[in-house]
Amino acid sequence: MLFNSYIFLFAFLPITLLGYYFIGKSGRPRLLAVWLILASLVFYAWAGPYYLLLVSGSIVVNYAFGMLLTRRADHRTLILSFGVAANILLLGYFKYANFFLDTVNTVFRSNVHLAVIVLPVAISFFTLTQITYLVDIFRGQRQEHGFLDYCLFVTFFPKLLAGPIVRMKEIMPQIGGRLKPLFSSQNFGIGLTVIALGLFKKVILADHIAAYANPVFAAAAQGSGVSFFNAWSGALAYTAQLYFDFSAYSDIAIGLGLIFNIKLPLNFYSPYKSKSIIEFWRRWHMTLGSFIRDYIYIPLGGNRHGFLRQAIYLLIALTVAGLWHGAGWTFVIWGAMHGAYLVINHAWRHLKNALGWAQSEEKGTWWGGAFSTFITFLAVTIAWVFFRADSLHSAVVMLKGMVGAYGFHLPMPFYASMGPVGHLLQQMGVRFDILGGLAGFSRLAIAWVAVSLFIVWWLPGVQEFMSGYKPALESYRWEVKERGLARLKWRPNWGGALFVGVIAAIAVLGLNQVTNFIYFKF
Amino acid sequence: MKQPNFKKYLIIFATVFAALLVLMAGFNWLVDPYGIYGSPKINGFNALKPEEPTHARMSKAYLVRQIKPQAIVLGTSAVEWGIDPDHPGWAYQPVFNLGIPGADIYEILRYMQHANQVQPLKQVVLGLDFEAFITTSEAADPATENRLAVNYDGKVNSSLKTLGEKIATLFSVSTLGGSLNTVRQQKNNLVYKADGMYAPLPRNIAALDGYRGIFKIEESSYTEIPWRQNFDFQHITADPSPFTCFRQILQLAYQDNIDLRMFIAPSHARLWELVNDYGIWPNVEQWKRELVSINEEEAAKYGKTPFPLWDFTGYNQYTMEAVPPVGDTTTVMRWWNDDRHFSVELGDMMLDRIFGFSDPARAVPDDFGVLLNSGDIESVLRQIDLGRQDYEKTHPEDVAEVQSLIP
Repeated sequence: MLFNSYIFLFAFLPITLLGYYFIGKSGRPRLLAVWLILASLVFYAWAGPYYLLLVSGSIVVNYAFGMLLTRRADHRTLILSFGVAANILLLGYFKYANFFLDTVNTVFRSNVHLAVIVLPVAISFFTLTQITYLVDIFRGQRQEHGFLDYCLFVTFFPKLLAGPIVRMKEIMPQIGGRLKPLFSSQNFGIGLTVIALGLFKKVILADHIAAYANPVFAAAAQGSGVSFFNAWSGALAYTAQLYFDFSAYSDIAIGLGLIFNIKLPLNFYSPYKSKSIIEFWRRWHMTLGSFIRDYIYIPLGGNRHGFLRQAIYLLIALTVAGLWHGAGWTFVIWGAMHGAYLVINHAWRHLKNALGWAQSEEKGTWWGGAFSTFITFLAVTIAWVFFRADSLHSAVVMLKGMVGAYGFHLPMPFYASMGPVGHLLQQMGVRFDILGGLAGFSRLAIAWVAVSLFIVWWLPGVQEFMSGYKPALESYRWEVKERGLARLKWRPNWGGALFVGVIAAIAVLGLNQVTNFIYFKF
Repeated sequence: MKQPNFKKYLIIFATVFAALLVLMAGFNWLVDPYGIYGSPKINGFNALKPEEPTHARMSKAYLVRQIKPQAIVLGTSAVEWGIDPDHPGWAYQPVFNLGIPGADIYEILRYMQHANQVQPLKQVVLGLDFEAFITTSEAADPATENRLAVNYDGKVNSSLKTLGEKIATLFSVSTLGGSLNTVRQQKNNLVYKADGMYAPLPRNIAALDGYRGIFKIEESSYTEIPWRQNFDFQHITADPSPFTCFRQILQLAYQDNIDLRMFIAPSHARLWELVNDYGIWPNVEQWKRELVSINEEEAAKYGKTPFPLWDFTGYNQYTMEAVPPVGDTTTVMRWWNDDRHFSVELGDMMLDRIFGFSDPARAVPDDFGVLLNSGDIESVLRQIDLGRQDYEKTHPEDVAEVQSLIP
């Protein structure tokens, strides 16, 4: 089921909520948990019940491994290895078997094929959550809750399909007999607000700007070159689209959890304002970043074995992160690029320390900060080209376009309206012709990209905007200096109600075309 | 510090939210950008409907219900721009131009069924475009299926479905954008005339680099289509197949005694160069053969003479009209708006032939358009092929220019 659909917002959600309150009054906590689990399974199986068996099986097996780890004092490493391996094998089969075979076929010119394997929705996410569960128990966290609570922990519908990726210590204290089925006007008010803001981001922003990214990447996939302005417009549009889409999903998840009086972890904190790649990974898909750090990077060795090893571990960890996103070489390259970015970032910091140049954030100049933000944003945008492209070849076509290999073309009508600037550009080699207007490039595309950049750089993100009221489990841990408009904060007063009422009305009107969230097929 | 009153917040939020929804839906109803609610038309506010041409499938379905035509024009945007319901040759009134931009033959069949259900049709002029016979499968659009008066099998559709569409569009941000656009553009004639014909404002052709620029834009837009795949008549994956739909159009006309007259729409010679460069010239020839044989098969089944099937795609002074040279941004072409959209004047000449009508002020050459039948289809095809080869010899620059647009 999609968050941005009538059936979810006006049927599923009210029914689930009313049932929650009603059963809550009866004072039977187990029934409450069963209700939420059933609702979550209905939510999951809405598109097709085939994979219910799969997720149920995965939950049972993992719970069993968890019990083993709790009860036994010996062979713990072995049990953990089997458990984690089982999860990875399941994910590996459904997600990567065909990719693996295709690659083998390309390299060895063989022709081995499996039948088409359809990827079960959410499998990437519930696999990670359950791996954290097993590892956390192995590391000594106490497992005192029953099977029912474990089921709810894995299937809780707000975060089931696309995260945030939750951990035992975050969720278990809030469920397990401690569910709060009472209407809290505070939680409801804050939760509904966050949902409205997220919905607006998805149906009004993400879905519209997609129209300026898709044709450009489609043209690149066809092999026809994309000229400079076209390519950049498409890449920037996608950068904005992905952020609005995915962060909206997390916002809605957090808002939904809050309506049920459960706090989910923060997942996005205005990542495009980051001044470094290191900071970016603390603000983009935060729960994935911390998973990579706590369950791959640090166990490998982190930064404890010197810089060279650290670089290798970073590359491995981020490449795995890339592969997790999708079974394709473009994703692997995207991950490896970010690994390389992080290595460079760490190296630069070491250098600055060694040379005595290091200084704290407060002492930096505003243009220094702006420059760092810009470079980080650029690096991220370039990496997203690989993430989005259909193939390595089309990614290369896009990048070539972005450095001008296919020329600089603008639509013909621009020349008339640009006056002397148009003439100057023409002298510099810009051509005003049909090629400039291909793949959807137009004034409207430029406007949408410009507005999106304004929003991601100068307006507060949803979680920044709401940070005074902590809708998520923790606010952003590192200090962030906001300037100007970004300091705007939501308050539950007349102004807030008016603003959010308008946003929610427009968002609901935008529901008419139902489209999938990008991360849906993970 | 004063404790925030969340209950009050929720009440204000809910009130603002509900009020805005009602307001925006009400505004949409009032403006009626797609002409489907039937709200009063106020001059200077919403009388003109500039959003209708871009929402043809929706608007025309409802316009047909309002107008109840006895005769219709069917086809793609080519007929929408060029075939005039006001032509004196029509035998029945009212006449409605039910041409739909980008329609495929399945949709054309469906809209014919729809119009026939609303009011039994007496006469149909059907413009045939090979582009409407796309062979790759495309699922029927549920929105179209729900808003027409009958479904594909002829069962009458419940009117609840159109009610559903009306309510859904009232509560849509795209309709809101359309309403705002409608109010803003009341001086703009980019609309449909009352009879469904498309009546665009004169274009700013200087900004588009003149007619040559317009032709190049149209031709460039073809690079994004997989031609060989979409018109592979040997491997049709669409279900129902486009030829089945064509057959059903004929059957409906025979069953309900409709005076059906068909024609293969002309395109400018440059477009046929493009078609040839994409390697599907033989596909188009095969398509014509199929049309002829199906037409005669169905006629034999019903024991009637086949419906007239005109072919206007021959090479002549009209289809080979000179495109203004590079740099000429003011000359207006007489017979073409662009490669595919013939002018109303040329459309009138075609209707003269189709209706057997003669206007002394309009001279139509006797060899303009030819009736196709199985007896002479091969010689007609050969003649057209020779015409193309001739064009290539006499217009090398156009040929080269078109070819340069192929990636």
